[in-house]
Amino acid sequence: MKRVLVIFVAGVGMVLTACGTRELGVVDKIQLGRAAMRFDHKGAELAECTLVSQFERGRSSSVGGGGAG
Amino acid sequence: MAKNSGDFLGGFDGNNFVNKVTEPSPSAPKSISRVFSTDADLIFADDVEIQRYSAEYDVTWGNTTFGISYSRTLYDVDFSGPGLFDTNLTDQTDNYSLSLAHDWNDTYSSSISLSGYQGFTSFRSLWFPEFFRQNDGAFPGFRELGDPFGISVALGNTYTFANGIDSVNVGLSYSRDRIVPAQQGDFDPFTGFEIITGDDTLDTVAVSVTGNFYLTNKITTEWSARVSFVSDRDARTQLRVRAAWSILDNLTLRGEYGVTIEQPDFDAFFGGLTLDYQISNNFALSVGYRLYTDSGEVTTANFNTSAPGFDSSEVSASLLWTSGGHSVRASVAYLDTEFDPVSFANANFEQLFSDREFIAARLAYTYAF
Repeated sequence: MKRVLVIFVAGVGMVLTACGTRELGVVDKIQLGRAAMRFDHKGAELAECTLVSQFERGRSSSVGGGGAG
Repeated sequence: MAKNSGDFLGGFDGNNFVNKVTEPSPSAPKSISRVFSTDADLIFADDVEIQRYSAEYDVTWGNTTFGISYSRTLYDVDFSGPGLFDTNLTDQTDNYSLSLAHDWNDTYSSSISLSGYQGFTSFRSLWFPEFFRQNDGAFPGFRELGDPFGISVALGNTYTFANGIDSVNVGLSYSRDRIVPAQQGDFDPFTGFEIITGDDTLDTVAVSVTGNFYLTNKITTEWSARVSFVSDRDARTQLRVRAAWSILDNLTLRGEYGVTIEQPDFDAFFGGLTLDYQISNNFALSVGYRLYTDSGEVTTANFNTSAPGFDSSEVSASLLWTSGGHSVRASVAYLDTEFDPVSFANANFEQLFSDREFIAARLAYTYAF
């Protein structure tokens, strides 16, 4: 667990170091702002069948129980 | 949030994908934009069928976005097991949500959401009350309890870096779930038969940090960490990395990898790839593949209903049509699920924890205006 957390934090640190506050051109901002480049999809943007999350409990962000078990 | 709410106004001009979000002049009146979404989901196997219907409406006025959503989930489950009466279980669950988000300036934004539900959150949690009703319903003191319900509140703050793309979000949430507790009969030589009831309330506090960073002008990443504290359980930690690579202007590869750990015995790993291809101005195709594995569930309310280890694989495809502010997506997936063999402790739930092959489908419509 600690090893995983250290690797995760190190990865974020490397990304932050590599990216910093580099400026982006207008074309780059448009490219990076496209729907396919984002991760907050919902509605018709979302390609997943959302009910699959009922079976992948460890992937869901919800841990609350709705019934016995 | 509000920064990306205008992306549905974008399109493909024949050469480039264009994000038509524009910055209004300071003297211009505040603009109002709206997004309405509705979708229908279905997943079924031989003995389980789940349907969900939902609708969401977001209004953005200037720098503030207000959202409201509702969904209804319908369960249809064939119940059977060793020494149990075969029956069919049906139920429905309603979910409600309100949200408010505000951009204070180009750097800071905040959000708050309030959610509630009434009903079972999964077909498995619908299964257990029937088991205890058949197994222990004859014991004096056994009670028929109402459907579970819960409420939650979530706060979020986002800092956007000077380049306008990189950002960090910190979230805090609290939820209270009133579950249907286990009721198991027991014989005490001094008091006779009695019902032992498990806990019926779970409190959950969760903290999350999510960072969005671009690596190049073709690759963006999302790094998220979430720690949840649930009543009577050790902390659950979830780490996830997602990346999107714009291979070509009309071809994007997205990947995801994550791990969830909860002491002492639960761990889960998941990952997947999705390829998006913009076929034309109006059509886009997505295909994906995902794997998931865990070591078995951790439960609070029951001492013998823990699920064994679980593996699943999913293959999916979807087709998106867009025109003006209208978008329609049809998705289909094949999900193969396998459980490790049940043990003596949870042998009663062999039918519940059996391998299944599911077909999933989804139809979604979004209108931005």
